[in-house]
Order: sequence, then structure tokens, then C-alpha cells
Amino acid sequence: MSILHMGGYGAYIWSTYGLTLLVFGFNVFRAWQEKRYVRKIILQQIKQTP
Amino acid sequence: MLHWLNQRFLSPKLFYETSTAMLPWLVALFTLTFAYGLIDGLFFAPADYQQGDGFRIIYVHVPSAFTAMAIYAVMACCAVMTLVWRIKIAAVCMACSAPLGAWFTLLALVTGSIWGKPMWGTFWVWDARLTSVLILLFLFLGFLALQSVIIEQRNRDRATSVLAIIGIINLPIIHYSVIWWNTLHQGPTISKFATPSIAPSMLYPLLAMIAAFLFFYVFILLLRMRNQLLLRDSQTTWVKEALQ
Repeated sequence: MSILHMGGYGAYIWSTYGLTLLVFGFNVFRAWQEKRYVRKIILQQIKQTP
Repeated sequence: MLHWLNQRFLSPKLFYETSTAMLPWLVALFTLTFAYGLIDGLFFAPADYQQGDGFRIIYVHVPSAFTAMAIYAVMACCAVMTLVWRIKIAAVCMACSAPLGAWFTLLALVTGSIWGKPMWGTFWVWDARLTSVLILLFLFLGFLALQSVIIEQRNRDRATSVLAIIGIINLPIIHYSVIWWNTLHQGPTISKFATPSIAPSMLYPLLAMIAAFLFFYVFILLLRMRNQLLLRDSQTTWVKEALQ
């Protein structure tokens, strides 16, 4: 419990760490999504060219 | 000489191959430094004598602010390379850095606000450090807005490069704001290497977290640059070979 409580600062500390992980996760997801999109577009172009 | 360097090290094909080899190393370095910084910073570093456990926000706040400023410095260097030598990869690096810079600046502002509430009694104050970092966020957002309104690639690279170079003036203002003005924000902590005002047991996890944030930036930057280079060079044979 003391880990969650953090001397009364638990809400402040855990919210900042949670936000950091969210920003990290979102950026990884965006890069992965972009990779899928780019590959799809280029592979379509390659198929269309004789 | 520059032409040779451009062909040998700054060509998109070589960059793609080199970055493929670098990605797993970056993931490993990030995981190691982040795990150490997180565990040591949250659970083992001693509580501050004034702020108690509340000071532990430093382990995400300072690294995000440091990384945001480092990203802007990288963008300004890339802008010079784009304008002077027209190096394509520098323009791509600059463009892919901007959204990351905006995210890290926003994270620094939000974590700083959350830290400010219990320590200063307020989420926000128009203090020189806070205001100059807010201006940094506006510079990143302005860069992204300018990028989205110019369609022609070469004009877009040039215009955004000029903005990136002009905005570099904000970096020394952010750094020295706590010295030049009487601010609510505390003074420099780790940049005074001769007399650091932080104990080593608190400093090591902080340095590890700064390294972790920088590794994360480079990792995402490489992923996004690879995507952009594939798109820009989609008609070339190296892209076809790389994808098939």
C-alpha cells in the first residue's frame, strides 16, 4: 500500500508515470500503423506496374 | 568530399540497411536504461528532504523536457543541412522529429503542472521557464502546421527549415530562464557538473531515464524515417528490393 500511497503523493506520481507510458505507447502504435500503411501502398504500386 | 559522404553514408538505401541493424540494439538499450531508471527512481532513490516522495516526478519530467530540447536542436542542425547541402535524409529526419518533439514538450508541461500542484499550490504560473517551454510547444506545432499546408516537397522542406532555425533562439532562453529571471521554477540541477545539487543516489536513475528517453526518441525516429524514405523513394529499385 505504501508503494501506491507514495507518502501522500501517489495520485500525482502515478498519473505522471501513467501519462508517460501512454505517450510512449501511442508513438509506438503510430509508427507501426504508418509502417503498415506505407507497405500496403507501395506493394499495391508494385503489383500495378507491369 | 561532401558528395562522397552523401553517397556513402547519407543515401536512403544505406540508411535503411544500417537502421535495420540498429533497431534491436536501440530496443535493448532502451529496455535496460528504462527498467533501471524506473525501478531505482521509484523505489530505491531516497525521498527528498523537502518534497518527500513527490520529487520522484523528476524521473519523467526532466527527461521529457531534456529530450524535447534535444529534438529541437537536432531539427535545427537538420534544417541547416537541408538548406545548405540539400541532404534529403536531413529533411526527413527534421520532419519525423517534429511530432515527437511536440509530444515530449507536452509531456514535460503536463508532468510539470502535476508536480507544481502539490509543491507550489498551482498547476500553472506564467513563470519564465514554463512560458518559454510553452513557446517551444508552439514552435513544434507551428512547424507541423506549416508542413501540412505546403504541398510541394522542396518548398515544404525549405520553409520548415527556416522556421526550425529561427526557433533555435528559444533553447538558450529556456535553459537560462531560471538564472536570468526570478522564477518559481527551481534552478539548474544536473547541468552544473562541477557542483551538482543532487545526490548521486538520486542522480544515477535520472541519468538512466534521460538516456532511455533519448533511445526511445531515436528508435521511433528511425522507424518513422524508414517509412518516409520508402514513400519518397517508392519508384526506385532499392525500395522494391527492400519490400519484396
